[in-house]
Amino acid sequence: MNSKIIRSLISLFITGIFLLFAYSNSESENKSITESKTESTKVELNADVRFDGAQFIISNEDDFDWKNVRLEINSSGLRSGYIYRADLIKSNTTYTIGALQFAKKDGERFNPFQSKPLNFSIICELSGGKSGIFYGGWE
Amino acid sequence: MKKTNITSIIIFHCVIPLLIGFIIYVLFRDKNIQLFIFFERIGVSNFINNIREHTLPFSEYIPKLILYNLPDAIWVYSFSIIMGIIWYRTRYFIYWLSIGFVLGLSSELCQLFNIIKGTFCRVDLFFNIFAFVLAYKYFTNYRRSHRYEF
Repeated sequence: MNSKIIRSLISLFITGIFLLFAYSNSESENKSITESKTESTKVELNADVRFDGAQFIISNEDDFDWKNVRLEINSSGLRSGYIYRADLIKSNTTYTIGALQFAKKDGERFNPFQSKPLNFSIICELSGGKSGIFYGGWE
Repeated sequence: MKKTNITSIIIFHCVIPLLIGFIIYVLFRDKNIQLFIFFERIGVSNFINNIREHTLPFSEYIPKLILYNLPDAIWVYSFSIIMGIIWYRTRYFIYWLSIGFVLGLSSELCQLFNIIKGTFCRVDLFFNIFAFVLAYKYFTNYRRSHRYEF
């Protein structure tokens, strides 16, 4: 076969693969046109987190639910802290979670009598593929 | 072009850059892209979500140009390099090399006129041009340094 035809066929095949790759990275839902793409779809959550010495009292002060929630205390840099996961935290609702329910990946539980909570972070999924983030700390 | 040269060009100028773009999309970008629907279908979304829980907070510290504009430029660059390898030293070289740039440009213009989903961005246009010029320069430099090679 003519080398030009072979090259063309290979080129078309590779173009197809690259177009598929581009399609997989395209947005999955309609978004309005804006001037800049640098606008993030991360949402800062309105949360109120209190600690009474044994329990964390977490209030979702947003008008939307938080899904697949990951609550974490005392994380620092790359090291993860003590984690608690919740499937759903409903809007305008307050939840109480015992400090001992927060645990590291190796199973070590957060002991409020030995450690002081220094920071608290919340990461969750929101509707429309957005991510919700909250970070707060105690002095 | 020698076979060893082609392999190393493909690895360093196509596979690795595309891998970097893929990592940016999967670990640091939002989940509103088709790829995550695919991950859910093949049953790896929990695994990906677990990794993202650790990586997503760091996205705040990565420059937005890298997060949102670099992957598109990587796509144009890698595509142009592949086409350049296939059509190297033929008279159709420049036409095929330009296809990546033309596709990137038309994709942005289609987004501008709301023909396809997405967000038009002038920085992306600049990055597309830059990626194409970089790929073109790569081959002109290659040709210069391998002029006695048959």
